[in-house]
Amino acid sequence: MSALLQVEDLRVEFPRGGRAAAAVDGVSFELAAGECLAIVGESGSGKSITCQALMRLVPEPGRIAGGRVLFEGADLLQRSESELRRVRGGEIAMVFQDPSSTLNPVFTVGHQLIDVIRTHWRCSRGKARERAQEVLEQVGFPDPAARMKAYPGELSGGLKQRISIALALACKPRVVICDEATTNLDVSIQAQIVELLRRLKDELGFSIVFITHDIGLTPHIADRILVLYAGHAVEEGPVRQVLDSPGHPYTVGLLHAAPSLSSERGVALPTIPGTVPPLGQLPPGAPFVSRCPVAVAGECDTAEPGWTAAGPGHRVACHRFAHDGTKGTTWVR
Amino acid sequence: MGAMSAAPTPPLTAPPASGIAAEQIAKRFAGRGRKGEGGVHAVNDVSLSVAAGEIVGLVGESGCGKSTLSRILIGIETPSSGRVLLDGAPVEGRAGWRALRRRVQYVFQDPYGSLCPTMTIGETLADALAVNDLGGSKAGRRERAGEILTQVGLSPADLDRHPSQFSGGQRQRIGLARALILEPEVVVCDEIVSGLDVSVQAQILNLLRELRQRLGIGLLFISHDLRVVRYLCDRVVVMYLGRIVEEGDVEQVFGDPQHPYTRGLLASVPDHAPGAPELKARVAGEPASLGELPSGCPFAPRCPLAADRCRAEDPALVAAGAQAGAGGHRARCHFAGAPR
Amino acid sequence: MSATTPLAASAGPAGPAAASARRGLLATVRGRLNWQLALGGSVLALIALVALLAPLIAPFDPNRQDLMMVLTSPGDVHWAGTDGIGRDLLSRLMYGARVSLGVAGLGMLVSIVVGVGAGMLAVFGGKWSERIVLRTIDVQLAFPYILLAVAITSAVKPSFAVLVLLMGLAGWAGAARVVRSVALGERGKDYVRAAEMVGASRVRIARKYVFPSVLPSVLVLAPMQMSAMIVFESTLSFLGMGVRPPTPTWGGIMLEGKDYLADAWWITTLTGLAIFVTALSLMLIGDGLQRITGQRIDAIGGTVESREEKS
Repeated sequence: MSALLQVEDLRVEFPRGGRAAAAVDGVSFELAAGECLAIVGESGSGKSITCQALMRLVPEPGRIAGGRVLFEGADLLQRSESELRRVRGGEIAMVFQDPSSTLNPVFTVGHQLIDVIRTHWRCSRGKARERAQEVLEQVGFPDPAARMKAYPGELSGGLKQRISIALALACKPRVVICDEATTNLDVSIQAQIVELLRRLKDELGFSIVFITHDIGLTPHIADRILVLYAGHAVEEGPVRQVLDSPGHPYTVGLLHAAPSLSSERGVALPTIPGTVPPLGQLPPGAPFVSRCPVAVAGECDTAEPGWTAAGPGHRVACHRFAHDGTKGTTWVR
Repeated sequence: MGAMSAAPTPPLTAPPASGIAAEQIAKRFAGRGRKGEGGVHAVNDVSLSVAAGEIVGLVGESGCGKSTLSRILIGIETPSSGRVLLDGAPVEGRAGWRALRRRVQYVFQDPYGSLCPTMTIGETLADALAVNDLGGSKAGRRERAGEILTQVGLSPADLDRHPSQFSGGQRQRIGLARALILEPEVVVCDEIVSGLDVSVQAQILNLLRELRQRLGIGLLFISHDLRVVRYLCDRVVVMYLGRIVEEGDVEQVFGDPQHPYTRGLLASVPDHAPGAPELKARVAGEPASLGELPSGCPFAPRCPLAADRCRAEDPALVAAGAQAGAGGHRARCHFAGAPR
Repeated sequence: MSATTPLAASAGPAGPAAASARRGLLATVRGRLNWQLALGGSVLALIALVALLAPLIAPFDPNRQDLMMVLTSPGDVHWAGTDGIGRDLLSRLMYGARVSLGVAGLGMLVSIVVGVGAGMLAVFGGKWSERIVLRTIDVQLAFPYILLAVAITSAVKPSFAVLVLLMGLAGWAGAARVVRSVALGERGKDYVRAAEMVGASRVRIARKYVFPSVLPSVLVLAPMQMSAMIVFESTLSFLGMGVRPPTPTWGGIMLEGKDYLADAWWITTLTGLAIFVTALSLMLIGDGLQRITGQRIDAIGGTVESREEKS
C-alpha cells in the first residue's frame, strides 16, 4: 500500500529566550489510504502542533523549520497559500476538540455546510444543499432537512461534534484529522462518536489521524499508533502490538500509569517520575532520558537513539531496547 | 414531571458515625415562570453517605446532578428537601451549615483557576486557617501550612512561591493541601484528575489513597472516568438525570452491573488492556433535559431494554445483583436482576 | 515560569505577561523597565521637580510686571519671553505646573480611590449596591463633564479644592467601570469559590484575594486619567473656570496669550508645549505599565482586556 500522506522529518520551532526551540523535532510517519493512525502523547508532546503543521497552520510565533509533508506525492509545505486553502477542508479536513468554537453561532448548520461545499466545489446552491443533507444523514441525523435549519446553539455538545464531523466530511476529504475530537464529550457520547468515525471510515474510505491523550481510546479506533514525547516520536507500530508489548520505556509507563478496567485495585499505580522538561530545555541524548527509569549513563544521555525494529511495522527509538529488547525497557511489573 | 413517581428511597444504612450523609435530598431550581414554572429537579431523592476512611465514587454524565449534589454536601447550596447529616447529626441552622463548610472540604477540577494568582502558597494556606481562627499565631499558621505541604508531597520551601511557578499536578496537590489544612472529615474531589496528564494523574491517585490511609479522611470522588473510579473507590454511585440509578461496592457494580445505564457506560469505557472488549455505544441518543423528564423511568428513551412498563412506571431503587444487599448493591430498574 | 509548564503545544505561548500579572506588583516592575516607562517617568519627574522647586529656581516672580519688557520674545533675560503685561513666561510656566500637576495628581487620586471603592462595592456589595453604583456610573458618564464643570464653577467660586473635586468627578466613573470589570472577572474564578469554602468573608475576599488582581489595571489607568486631567484642567482654566488669577495656571496663561497670538507666538505655543509634554509623559507611563502588566485598558469605555490567557 503506498502512502497517501507521508510526513518526513518534520520540525516546528518556537522562539524561547532568543533561541529557536523545537516543539516538534524530526517526526516522520505515513498514513495509508483508509487507515487510522492514532498520535498519542501528553501535554507538550507536540501532537497538536504536528497536525497543525500538516496543514501549515502552526500558530504564531511558531514556524515550520524543516521536513516534508507529502500528500499524494506532492509537498504541502512547498505549495502556495491559495493551493493550500483548496487542500484544507477539501482534501484534508480537521475536527477539533471544541465544536462550539469551530461552528459559527450566527449561521444555521445548513448555511455553514453549504458554504464549505461551495467554497471547494464551486457547484450550484441546490447541489450543495443536496450534498449537505447527504452528509448530515451520514453522520447520523435521520432528519437532515430539519437539522439544516438549526443553529449550533440549539444543539448539545455531542450533536455539535457530529455537525463538525459533517462539516469536515462535506467535501469528501481523503484525510480527516481529529484533534482530541472526543475529549470533552461524555463517555456514552464519546463511544457514539468513535463508532461513527469507525463506520464512516470503512464506508467512505478516508484516512484518519486521531490525536488523543487517552491511550485507552487507541485500540478502539486506530490501526496504528505513534507515541510522541516532548516533540519526538518514540514508538510506532500496529496498535495492538504496541499496547501488548510496548518497547519504549515511556510507552510502558504511560500504559501502566493509566488504570484500566482490569487493573489491580488497591495497589499503587506505577508513575513516571518527574515532569516533561519545558520547551527548549530537553537534555542531550534520548528525549526521555531525564525521566527514564532504565536509562544508562554514558549512552542514553549522549546520543539520540535511532529506530530499532520491534516487529512488522513496529519500531522503537530507544538505546536500551536496541540492546536488550523489551527485557531492557519493561520497568514495571 | 413523571406520571408516577417511585416511593422515596430510604437510605440503605444508618448514617455513619463519622462522616457525611445525605438523606433523600432533592434540589429543585425554580423556573422563569411567575410561579416558578419550568423549574427543574436537579437532584431527586438522593441518599448517599461517605464515612471517614472511605472513598466513594460518584459517576454520571453532564447534567446528572452530581455538581448540585456536591454543592449541597459542602454546604454552599441548601437542599429543597431532605437532610444532610454530619457525624450522624442533622445539619441545622446557620451555625450548623457553617460547621459543615469547614468539616467538608472541596477540591476543584481546574488547578489553574482555583489558586489566587497574587498570593503565595503559604498565604493561601495560612488564610484558610486565619479565617477560621485556627493555628494560633502567624508563625504557627505558617508552620502548619508547611506541614500540610509535606503531607501532599511538596516541601515547606514552596510556601513562598506563587501558583504560576507550579505545574498542573503540583497545583492540584496544593488544592488538596488547602482542603486538608482545615482537617476535614470528608473531602469532595470534583473531577480533580481529569485535566491532568496520565502520568501525573497516577501520582495524584496514589496520593489520594495514601491520604485516606494516613489521615482516615473520607473522599467523595466525582469523575466521569470509570477506569479511575474502579481503581480508586470502595463504593460507587451512578447518577442519571438527578437520581441514583445504581450504587454499591465497586467490585459488584463493575463486575455485575444491574442497570442498563451502568452497563452502557461500562461498554463505552475506552480500555487499552489486552483482551478488553471493543468499545460499543450501547446508550443511544442523549439524555433528556431535566425540564422535560419523560414519564416513567427517566432512562427509558435511551434504554435498550425499555418496555411499556418502563414508560409508565418509575422504578424504585431496590436491592439487586448476585449478592443483593450484601455490598449495598441497589439499582433503579424494573429489570434489575432479570436475565438479559 | 515553572519547571513543568506545558510546551507551547498545549498552552498558547502565554508569554511573560501572564506570569508577571500573577506575581507581586513590585517584582513585576523591577527589572522589566521599558523605554516608555523610563522616558515618561523621567520627563514627568523633571516637570514635577521643577514645579516643586519653582520658588527656588524660577528666575523671576511670576506675578512681577515689568512694563518695560512687555511681549519680549524669548532671549537672554527672559528665556521664554514675557507676556502682555511683562511677566516672565518661564517663571509663570514653572508656577503653573504646580497647579496643573497638583490638580491633576490629586484629582486622579480622588478618582481612583472613589472608583476602586465603587467598583469593588458593585461587585462585592450585594445586589442593591451593584444597582445603585451602576446607575450612578451611567448617570455620571451620560452627563457632559464640561457642562458639569460650568454648573459647579458658576455656583461656587472655583478654587484648587473645587478643581480637584471636579477632576475626581470626571474620572471616578471610568475607574469604577474598569475596577468592576476586572473584579467581576476575578470573582467568577475558582479561587474565589475556594476562599468562600474555607469560610472567608466577602470583605476579606475583596480585600485580600481580588484587590491585588485589580491593582495592575488601576496602575495602568491612573497615569492615563491624570494625563486627561492635565488637559481638562487647562481647558477649564482656558475657559476662565480654573483657579483664579493672578495664580498662574497653564490654561490661564493660554487664555491671556490668546489675544497676542499674532504678536507673541511663544506665549500660547510654549504653554501648549508644556501641557503636551506633560500629558504625553503620563501617557507613556501608562503605556509602559500596560506593557509590563499585560493589562490593556480602554480608559474611555472602561473595559479591560488582559493578555493573560487561560492556559
